[in-house]
Amino acid sequence: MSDATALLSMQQLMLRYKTGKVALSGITMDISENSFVYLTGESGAGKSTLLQMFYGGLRPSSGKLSVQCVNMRTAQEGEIRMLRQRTGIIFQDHRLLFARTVFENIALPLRVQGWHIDKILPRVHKVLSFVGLGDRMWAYPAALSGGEQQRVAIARAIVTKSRVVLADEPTGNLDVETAQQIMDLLKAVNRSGSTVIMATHDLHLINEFPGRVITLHAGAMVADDL
Amino acid sequence: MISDLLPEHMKHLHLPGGFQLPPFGLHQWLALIIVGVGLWLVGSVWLGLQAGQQWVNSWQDDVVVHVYFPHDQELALIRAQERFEKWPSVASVQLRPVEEGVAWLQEWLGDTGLDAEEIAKRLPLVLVLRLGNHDESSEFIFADIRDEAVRQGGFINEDELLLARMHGYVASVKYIVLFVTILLALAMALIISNTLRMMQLSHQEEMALMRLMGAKEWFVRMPFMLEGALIGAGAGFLGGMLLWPISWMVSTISDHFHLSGDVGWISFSLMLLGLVSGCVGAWISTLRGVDDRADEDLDS
Repeated sequence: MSDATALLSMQQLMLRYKTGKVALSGITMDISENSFVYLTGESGAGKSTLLQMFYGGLRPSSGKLSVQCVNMRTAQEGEIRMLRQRTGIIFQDHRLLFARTVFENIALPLRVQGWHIDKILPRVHKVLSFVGLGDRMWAYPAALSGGEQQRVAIARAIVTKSRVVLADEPTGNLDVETAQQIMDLLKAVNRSGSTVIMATHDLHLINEFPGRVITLHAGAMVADDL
Repeated sequence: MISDLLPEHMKHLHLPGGFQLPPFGLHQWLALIIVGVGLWLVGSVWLGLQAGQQWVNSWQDDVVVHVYFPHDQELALIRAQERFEKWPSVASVQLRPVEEGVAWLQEWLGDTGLDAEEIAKRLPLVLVLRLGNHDESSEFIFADIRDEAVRQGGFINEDELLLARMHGYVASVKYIVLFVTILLALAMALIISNTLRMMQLSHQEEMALMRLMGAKEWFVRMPFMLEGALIGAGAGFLGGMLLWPISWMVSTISDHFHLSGDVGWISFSLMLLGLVSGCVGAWISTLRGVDDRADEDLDS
């Protein structure tokens, strides 16, 4: 079942909290490079938990999880840090820093990776132009609309040319038209070479923007529409 | 190209993390002033102690104890003189000449018309004992002198003994001041720590995001370490600067006693103490709680 070339590989993946509650169990699948994957299911199905495991926020209790060739059960903190530098994360509530400008928000991952300011500025400008906000670089997030804020969050996730972009219900709080714009952007990110894994329960978007759909229910994988 | 991207009102970009200071606001200034005043108090006490030590040392190099005998006890005095001369801790024993006493008395009486020689006859006979190599180890020498004097029928001036023992008292005070200094340094470290904790709470989201983006712990904590060091060193500098007016104000008194406090050295020490307190405070502030926020979940 496991594909040696897969970017993410899971075998009988299980996560049990210290309280004894099983959040995920028996998940076996591979996600290949440059794919666009939807994780869908009802609230509490385990979508966000699975995404958290993909960047080392949670470690598997049993089974196997390999992300970008990193064994997530045995990885050292340093390996997790390096993995996170190659991973872009988009949150439903975008988690922008409202006391900082759009530029500073997007520059944060580059700063973490030690980029010099001379290179950060043009890179941020380029990515902002890509998401259609080239003229809002020095604005504060509070001055932006919900859709623009989410586009800034996408820019922050892709500014380091991440191999994997994890998006947790990025359209959850947006109207239909803005959600479609965000989906257009995520598709463009995918076309530029990044693997996009997106948690959502918006079936309309899944129909409109086709991709691989993995359905979770009560912590188990119930469908994988390749 | 880069200057084209930077707006005019944004001359300096302050990106978070690493060797960048967080914004220096009201809380930081308050902490700096409070810690500065604390360090100034510590410095003032040390300055006072230094002056006290100099004053004590100025006459402790030549400790003299006077042993008095009634004027009709000349034999007892000679006996005591012979015994004191055999003591290794007594450098010299001198019988104060009567003429010396008369001359001093005559000067003191002035032109009152009184006969100094007649009065001097009623004054006690005096043995002048000079102590050699006097230090804390010879703590019983004063008691021994008193005992021997009483045994031979004489007596000593107890106030003189108290002054002679001052060296030991100053040494004890020094330990107390050192203990208080350490306590105050810890208190100042906690003040700085709490200030930085407030900063960390307001930057909690930023720190969590940096960790999610793969930042190393030193990168996340370094701005707060730098800020702690800056507050501490700044407070030390402030405390040191405030010592100079004190030194200037008491200069008349200190000059009179030939005391010269080393304000420069104490100021430098205060800066070092402030720096250490700041670093310790910053270290304490980053110890508590911040690790727990390393992995905030996506649903938060």
